[in-house]
Amino acid sequence: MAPRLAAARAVAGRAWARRPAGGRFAAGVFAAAVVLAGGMGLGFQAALPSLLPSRLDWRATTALLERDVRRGDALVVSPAWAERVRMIAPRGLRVLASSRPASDAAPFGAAATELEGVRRVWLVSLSGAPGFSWAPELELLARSAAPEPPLRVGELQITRFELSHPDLPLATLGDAFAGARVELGGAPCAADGPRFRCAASRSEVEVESAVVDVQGVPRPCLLVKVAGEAAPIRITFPAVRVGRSLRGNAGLAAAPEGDAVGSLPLTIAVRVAGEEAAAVQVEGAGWPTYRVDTGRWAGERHPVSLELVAPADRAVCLQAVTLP
Amino acid sequence: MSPSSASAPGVDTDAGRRARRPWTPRRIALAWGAAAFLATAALSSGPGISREEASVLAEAGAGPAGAGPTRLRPPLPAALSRVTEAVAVRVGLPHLVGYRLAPALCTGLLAALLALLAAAVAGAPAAVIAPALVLFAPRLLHPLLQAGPAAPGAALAVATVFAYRRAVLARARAARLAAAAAAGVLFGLALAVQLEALALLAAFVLHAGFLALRRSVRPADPEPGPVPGEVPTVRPHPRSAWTALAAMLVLGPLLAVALWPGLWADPVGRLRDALLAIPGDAPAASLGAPLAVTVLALPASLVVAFAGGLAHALARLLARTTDARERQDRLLLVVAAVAPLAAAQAGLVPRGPGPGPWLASFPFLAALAAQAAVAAGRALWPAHARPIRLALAAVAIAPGLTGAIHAWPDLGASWGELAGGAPGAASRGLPRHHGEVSPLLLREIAARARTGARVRWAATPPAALAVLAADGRVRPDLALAASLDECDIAVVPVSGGPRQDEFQIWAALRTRSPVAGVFLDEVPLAWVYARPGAWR
Repeated sequence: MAPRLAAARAVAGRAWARRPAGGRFAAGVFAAAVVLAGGMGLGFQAALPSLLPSRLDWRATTALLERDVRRGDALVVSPAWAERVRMIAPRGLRVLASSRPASDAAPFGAAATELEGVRRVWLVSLSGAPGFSWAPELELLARSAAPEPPLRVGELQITRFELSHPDLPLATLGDAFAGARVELGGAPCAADGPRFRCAASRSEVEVESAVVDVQGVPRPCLLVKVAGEAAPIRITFPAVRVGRSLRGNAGLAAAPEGDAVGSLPLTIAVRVAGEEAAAVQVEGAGWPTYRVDTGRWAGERHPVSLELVAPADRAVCLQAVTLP
Repeated sequence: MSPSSASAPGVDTDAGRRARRPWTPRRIALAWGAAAFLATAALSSGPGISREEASVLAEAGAGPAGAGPTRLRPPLPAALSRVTEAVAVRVGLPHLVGYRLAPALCTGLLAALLALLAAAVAGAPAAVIAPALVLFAPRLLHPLLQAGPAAPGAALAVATVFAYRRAVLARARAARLAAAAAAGVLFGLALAVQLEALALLAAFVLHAGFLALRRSVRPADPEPGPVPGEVPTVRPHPRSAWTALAAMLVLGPLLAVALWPGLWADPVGRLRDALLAIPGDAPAASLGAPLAVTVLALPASLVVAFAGGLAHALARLLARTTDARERQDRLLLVVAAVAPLAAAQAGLVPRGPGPGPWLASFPFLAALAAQAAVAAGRALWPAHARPIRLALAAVAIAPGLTGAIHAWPDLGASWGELAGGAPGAASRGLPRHHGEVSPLLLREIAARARTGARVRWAATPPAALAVLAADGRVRPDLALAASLDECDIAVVPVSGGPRQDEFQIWAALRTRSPVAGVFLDEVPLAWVYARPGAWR
């Protein structure tokens, strides 16, 4: 090994000693770098179409999904920007879309609660695309029984994951919003079409069920907007199936020109059948989770209330489900 | 007579005359100017209208009343577009082409001036190369095609630098004063186009300061050769740079205020308001962001060429053998290239999704790169310097040219290979465009929307819609939906930012499945959603 190293050193030394004069050497390096970068650019452009799926690949994927999709299935695409999948997905199949790139913390560009109510996940991957990440695949592998081998459809790779412990809520409070009662400081708010509006001396409140952009992810939630001063709001849902716990998330809705600036804290009190189950402090940026023990009422139907003091001039997106 | 003897000395034929007629810098500049103008004018109907351009169009009189500018800014870009549109419509050209003829003219001027500047600092071969390095990159061509301050701002930046250089190098007093006055006037025009031109002033102060310092430290620099076309009489005046600066400081603001009626009532107060409004509401750029965006948005070959040009200039600045004029020129190009980038880093330029806001850097980077290519050709193989430098230039511009053809008309959505193209950029969360509705989508809507459908154009400014409708690119029977609840079809640009508008459309139309979309390398740029029956 040592003689070879010595020989290599000698060759390198001779080459270095015979290198062209300064200006010529620098010119050579510059020319080589330009040629290399130009070649790389042309090569990248030539190769890119072959790394991306064709229309035929997408059509074949549609046919496959239409044949095999069941109720309780969801579809995840990786990378998250490959949203053509929303055009081709069969009706009724939930597509977990995000406008943000995936990260290790949020593999679908979203939190794990995205998989609420999902038993099986179809992962459609563009594994050759620039910026592709294995994070969603690894996350799904960790949550599922052994998946079937991926099916290759042109440049698309389709894998089906059966979740080993599907997260199946008993009830989603947002779904019962049409029959809910909203109060501001104890006074009931009037229903105005799909939303509730009310005003106190120093605050105006609007509560509606909406799909809201929170950190780049579409969140179906209760959107609470307060103008003026912070105000105490109670939202009561009648006859909710209560389980052992109630889990929810809260976050600030994005402003039209950028992400919501700042983070919560927000105190949420949960009342079941008129009794306070717990009050929790929800803190942090993004989509923090809160959980309240409701074991005393498990298996029964009761009115459930969420009480919060919504911050002024912010739009808070609030979500809650009851879990068995 | 054999063909070869036709151009023999003394024989006056067409071929002989052509052979004797050299490609002088002026002819090269003229050719570049004409070619750049014709090409950009021909391409001007292609790209969609961004939010920034729409606000210029609104200022130029497009769109409904009240759709005017939302912030105080210099009036010249809109005024130029208004004039060219009025002329163009009379000769039967579309309105959008009319508005964009002003930037096309400025792009022609930019190409010609850049060729002249490159020739002045590095000879005629550099004049051939430099404009191509700017015009053949999709992300640099895109702002040059759009109505707004980018093209006139870049052209005036080059013109001001050119005039300042002449003022610094002029030997006769009259020539020096005339060039200084020209620099002042051009600087005033540049300010009347965009207030970001103030960065140029900082560049000139640096340049003049460095020259003064250098003279005080090393008075025995090699004597420069004569300026081509000038008879060497006396050395340039030692304070010529300061004369030009004084002219710019006096004439520039005066002319800018004179051309900007909005400032007349309270020039100081309103100018301060306009300066404070430049960055807009967007969050501040993180350290190195403009440089990173430049590296990711441009083809790697251009990045290497620009970096090589900059390194070459810095090396020559430090070399002992460099004469005074060469040192002056290189320093001028370096500070003029760096100043807009530094202004962008400091948050003194409007924030946009690409390198457009600091476009004024690139002509100077291109001149430096052209200079480096010429020097490399000469150093590598002196006997065949010409084919080497042309080959280098061709390799540097080829990826940009092919990238522009591939991304057309969505030039603003393309990213360089260092970002991984549009897919890699989307994976990194980089912006896709600035709110443009792609013309490809307009064609699709015209072909497939139900007769009389009510369309909701989410995030598309009224001025942009008005121009597109006036040009017949929006079908006349399609109505504008007043609210989300009553729309049949919704058009949503996907710029990479928050998508609240789109999510509201999901709720209103009760669907999350688009019926059509525009993609660049599978990255969606815009969606169309429709109620059942509204899309054929």
